[in-house]
Amino acid sequence: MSLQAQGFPFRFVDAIFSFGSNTTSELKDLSEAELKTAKDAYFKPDNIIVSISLDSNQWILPENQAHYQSIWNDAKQYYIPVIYSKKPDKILTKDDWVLNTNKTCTIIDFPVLLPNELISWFGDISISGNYSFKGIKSIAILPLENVNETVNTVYVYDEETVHVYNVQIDPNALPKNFYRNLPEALKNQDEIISASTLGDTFPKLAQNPAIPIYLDLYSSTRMQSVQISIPDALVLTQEEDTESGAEGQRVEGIRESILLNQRDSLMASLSANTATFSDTENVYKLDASGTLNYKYLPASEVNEIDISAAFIHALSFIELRRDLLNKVDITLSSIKEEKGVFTFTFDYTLNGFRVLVYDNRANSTGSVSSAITIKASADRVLECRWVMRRFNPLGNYHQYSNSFIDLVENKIMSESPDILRNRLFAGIEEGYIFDASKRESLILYPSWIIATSPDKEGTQIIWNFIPMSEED
Amino acid sequence: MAKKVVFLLVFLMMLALASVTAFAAGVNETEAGLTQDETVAINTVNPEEVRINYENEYADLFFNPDLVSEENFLLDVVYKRDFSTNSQLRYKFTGTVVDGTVDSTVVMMMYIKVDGEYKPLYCVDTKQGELTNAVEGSFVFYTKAELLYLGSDKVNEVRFVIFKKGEEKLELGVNLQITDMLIVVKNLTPIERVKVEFNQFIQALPPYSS
Repeated sequence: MSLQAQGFPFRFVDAIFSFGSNTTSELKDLSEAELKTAKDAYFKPDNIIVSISLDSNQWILPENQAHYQSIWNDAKQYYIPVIYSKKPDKILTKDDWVLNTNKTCTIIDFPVLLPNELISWFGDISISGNYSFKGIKSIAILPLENVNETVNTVYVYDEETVHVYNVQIDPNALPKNFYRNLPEALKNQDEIISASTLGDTFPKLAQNPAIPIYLDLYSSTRMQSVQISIPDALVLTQEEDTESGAEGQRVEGIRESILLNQRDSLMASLSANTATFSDTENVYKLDASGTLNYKYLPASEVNEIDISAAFIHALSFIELRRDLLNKVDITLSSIKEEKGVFTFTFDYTLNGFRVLVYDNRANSTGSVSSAITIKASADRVLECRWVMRRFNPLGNYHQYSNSFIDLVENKIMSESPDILRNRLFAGIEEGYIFDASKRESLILYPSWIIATSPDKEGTQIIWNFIPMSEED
Repeated sequence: MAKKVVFLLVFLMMLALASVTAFAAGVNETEAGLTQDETVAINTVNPEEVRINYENEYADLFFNPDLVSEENFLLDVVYKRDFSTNSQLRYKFTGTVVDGTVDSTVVMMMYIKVDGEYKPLYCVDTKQGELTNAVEGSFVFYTKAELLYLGSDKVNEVRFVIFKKGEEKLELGVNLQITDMLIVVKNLTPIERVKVEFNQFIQALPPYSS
C-alpha cells in the first residue's frame, strides 16, 4: 500500500524533524497510527512465494493477491515475535535453506537482509538475547515438517545459516491447514501461473540459479505505462532566463520543495545546469537532470551505532519531500554499514515492479542503480543522492508476456542476440528503466531488465533492457 | 461434383507437400507465411505428417536402440516433474541449445518405448492444442508431456531425437543427437501424498483476514 494513497503525516514529521538535533527520541511525537503507516510502507516482503517440494514449482504471490496480506500479517504478528523470544530448535547451514532443498513451504522474502534492530523497530518487537541470527533475509513456514496440528515449523534464513523453530500456532493465527492447502488452492486457479527457477530448468544459462522464470509461452503479467518528468518545482531555468524574474521564482520553488525548514538559512548559487544551496554545514546541489545531492560538511564522529535511528533519518529525509513524486511507492533495497555509517538505497516501485535508473555519465558501459542512496548515522543524514522524478501512471493496464521462452526465442534472438553470446543470466526482472541524464518528460513502458555476466562468479555485470511484448 | 472433389484432394495434397517441403528444407517462417508467434512450435505445419516423413526416412537411425550420442553437442535436456497439475505423470522438459545462434534452429522430437518399440511422446498443453511430439528453438526449449509408467518397478525409457533444422542428410554425431533418459516416476510418499492429494476435494481457499 502506498504512502501516497494513505497520506503521510508531513506536518507531524516536519515538526519533529530537523537536521541539527534529531534523535530517535523525537519519534515519540508521532501518533501511533502515523508511525504505523510509515512502518507498514517500508516493512514488507519483496515476494511471498509458495513453493512445492520435489520440483521447481513456485507461485509468486503479487501484493494485490488475496493471500499475500493474510500471510504477511500472520508472519508479522505471530511468527516473527516468537522467533525473537525463544532459542532455535536447531541451526542448519545455508545449504539446508528451503530453496536448496525444495521443501513445501511459504516463503516470506525481504528485498534485503534486515538487521534485527531494524525489525525490532519496524515490528515493535522487543528482542531478547536468545536469537543468534544476524538478521532476516527470508522466513519460511513449513506446515509438513511437524505432524502436530498445532505446530508449524519456521526456518529463518540470514544468508549464512538457517535457524529452525517449532512454533506453537496462535489460536488467532492462520491455521496449519491454510499453509498445507495453499499449493493445492493455487494449483486450482488460473490467476497466478507457477514459476520455476532458472537453475532448475536451464542450469547452463544461470549465473544466479534462484532467478524465478515463467516457462509457459502464454504466461503474462498485468502492467501499465507511466509518464515521468522532473518535478515542476525542480526544473532549472534556461540560461537566457536567469536574469529575469523567473529565476527568483525558481529559487523559491526549490527552497520550498527541497530545503524545507532550512529554506531561509542557506545561500543560493545558480547556474544554467546547477542550483546550489549551502551554509557552513550543509550543501544541497540540484542538477538540471533532476538529481539532488546533499552533503553534511563537518567531519562527523560516530558516537553510537544505531541502525534504527539512522534509518529514521533516511526515511524522514525522503518522506518530507515525497509529495514531489506523486504516484509511486518507495522500497528499501539495500543496507550497508561501515563504522557506524549506514548506506541505504531505495527503489521507486510501481504496482510492485521496480523502476530502476540507468546512468552512463560515470562510465561508458553505464550502470543500473536505485533512485535514492542515503548515508546516515545515528545522529543525522550525512549524504544523499536522489534522482527525482514525478510519476503519472497512464491509463489502463495491459497484459505483457513474461514468458522466459518468449523472451529468449522471440525477443532476445530477434533484437539483442549478443546478450546470449558467452554470457550467463545474473538477473532477470520485469520493471521499468529510465535514463538519469534525460531532462525531458518520458513515457516508460514495461521492460525486461536483464543482467548478464561473462563469468560464473558474476564479477562483471552487463545490463540489457528489452521492451516487453504486449499481448493482443 | 466429382471434379470438385478431385480439385479439393489435389489442393490439399499440394498444401501438405508445400508444408513438409518448407519445414524439411528449413525455409524460414516468414517466408512460409507464419506469424512470429508460431515460430516456437514446430507443429505449425502439419506436425504429424512431418514426423512421419522424418521417421520414414531415418527410422534406422531414430529407432536403433544401440545408437546413442556420447555427448550433448546440440542440446542439453533437463526434465522435472510438474506438480502444478494433479497428474503424477506430467513432466516438464527444458533444453538449452549448445552454441545457439539466431541463424540456426534445432528440432527435438520425443519418443517413449512401449513394448520394445519407440512411440511418439506427445507434448501437452501446446498453445494451439495440436498433436505433436516435436518442439524447435534457436536457444531454449520448453515443453510438457505425460509419461506412461508410474511406480518404481516401471521405467519410462524416453528418447530425444535432436537435429539441426534444414540439414539435407542427418548423421549421428554430426548433425543428429540421440539422447536416452530413463525416468522412474515414484509413487508419492505419504507426506508427499498429503501435499498433493490432501485437498483434492477442497475448492480454492477463501481469503483469510486477520
